[in-house]
Amino acid sequence: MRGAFSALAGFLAAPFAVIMTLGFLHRQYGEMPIVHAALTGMSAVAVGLLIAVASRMVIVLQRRWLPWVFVVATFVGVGVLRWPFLAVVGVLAPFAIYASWRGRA
Amino acid sequence: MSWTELVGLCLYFMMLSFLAVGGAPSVLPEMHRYVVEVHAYMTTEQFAQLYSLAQVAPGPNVMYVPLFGWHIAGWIGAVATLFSVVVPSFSLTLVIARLYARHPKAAFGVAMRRGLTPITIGLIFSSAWVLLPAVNRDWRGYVLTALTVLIVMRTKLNPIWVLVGGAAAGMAGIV
Repeated sequence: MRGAFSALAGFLAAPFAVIMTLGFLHRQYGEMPIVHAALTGMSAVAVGLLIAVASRMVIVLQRRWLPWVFVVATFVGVGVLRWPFLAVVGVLAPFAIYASWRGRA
Repeated sequence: MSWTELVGLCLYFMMLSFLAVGGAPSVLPEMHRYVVEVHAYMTTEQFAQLYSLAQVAPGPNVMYVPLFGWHIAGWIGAVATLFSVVVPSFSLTLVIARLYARHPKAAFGVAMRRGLTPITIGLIFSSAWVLLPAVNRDWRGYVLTALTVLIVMRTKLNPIWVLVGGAAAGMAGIV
């Protein structure tokens, strides 16, 4: 267990140093028009990457209607209506797991 | 930010970390709700910028979290939020990995993973939905987002190059 946690710390140290350097540079130079413009372009791409990740997962979804109900319900609840994550996932997850346990989803 | 607020933030992130079905991108909408909508620790634009900034860094994709922590509460915030999100999910993963190694074909484990996949998909789409308006001010941004989806889905290009391309498009004044 202790080995696992020191491995975790080692695994995080370098990325943490990199990310804080980026954050520091962002704070120093983020207001410069050229940096701001670059970040604007990157942000548009970052959102596209999220959509692509989710779309890839859609492909492996089984061709049944019930999983789609859970995809749409989660999206509408958390994304569109901005309801609390806990409420939405707390209600949907047991049904989703039960449905897949019974072999319907 | 006061100490009680920082502790509250960390406890909240810890709880989310336990529930992060599908990993870091799936809790992004809830973090947005907490730090932007409920507590107004930052604007939605700042939230989106910090998230995007973290995408160019190598390493695990939770690395956007310490940037939020840093923005909200400085260095202590960065370290505290990172551990708050990493330690619970990591411990849970260890436990599950052990169970999985012992019972690789356990029907309940399979049902759980398969059952939660649609919810994870819904959550990641929600993340994109929450970020979109903060990120794209007009149609050109949406075109760049759509192009990214197309490129990532259709080619094997490393996403980092798409991010670099996005930065170039921004600097060229295209978006």
